[in-house]
Amino acid sequence: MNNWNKRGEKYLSVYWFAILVIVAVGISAMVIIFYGKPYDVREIEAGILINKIVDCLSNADGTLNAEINNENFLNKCHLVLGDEYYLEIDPFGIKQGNFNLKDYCGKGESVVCVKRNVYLLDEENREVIIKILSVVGKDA
Amino acid sequence: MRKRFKKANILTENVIFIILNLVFLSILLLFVFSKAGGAAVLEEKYAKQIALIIDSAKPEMKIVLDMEDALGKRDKNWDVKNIVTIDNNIVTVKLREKGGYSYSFFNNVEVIDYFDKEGGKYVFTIKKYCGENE
Repeated sequence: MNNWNKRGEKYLSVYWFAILVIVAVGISAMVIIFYGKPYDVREIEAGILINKIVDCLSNADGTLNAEINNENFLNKCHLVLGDEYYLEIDPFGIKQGNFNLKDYCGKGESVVCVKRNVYLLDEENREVIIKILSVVGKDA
Repeated sequence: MRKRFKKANILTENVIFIILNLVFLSILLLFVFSKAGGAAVLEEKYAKQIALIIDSAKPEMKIVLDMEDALGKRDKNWDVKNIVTIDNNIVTVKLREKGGYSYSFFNNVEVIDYFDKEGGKYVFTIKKYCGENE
């Protein structure tokens, strides 16, 4: 009877170590997955881009800056857009950056698309709704 | 005598068991903390942070960034001046020779960066918009 107890203890210790190993592997896997994932700041970046555009399109008194068009947009708003960005501003018809990124909006996490509507007053004090689409297509 | 021997045996076994458990937990915690404060993670964090700061900034702004944890993680023979480089609208943070993380920004500004040895912090000065006269 005493011998049976000792045998039982040996089997228990084996299972105990097996549980420890499983716990260690599990925790290690969780840590590696968590810290292996990059910090995704694309949405924040797209938001900052839209804020810059709104600052650029509006005058100090909140009226619309009517001088801006598709040709002088990047120069006037001091932006450098490579292949990783795409911008669309209605009703100005401004389209800048990599047009192909727009097709990926809403399809997975390869791009982040942010849409905002802004109200500004034109020269005749009429309300103008400006729709801005900002797409960031960088790796997360 | 046999009873005393049995009691000593039980105590020894339990003590060894507790010590082994503590060793196991310590190793696990060391692994977690080493991963959390790793150089690669800090490089990515600061590259993106600096890029977003530059994107939000305007000319004549001066930004002071405390990178104490990154400075502690850099290779000892890696010069502090080489940690942050800004070139062609790309920010690169390197804490070691074979490493580094780059992130681009869209704000077309001229940025001057340097490490303030007295304060122990990195300073970024947004000078002007590129293409503009001073």
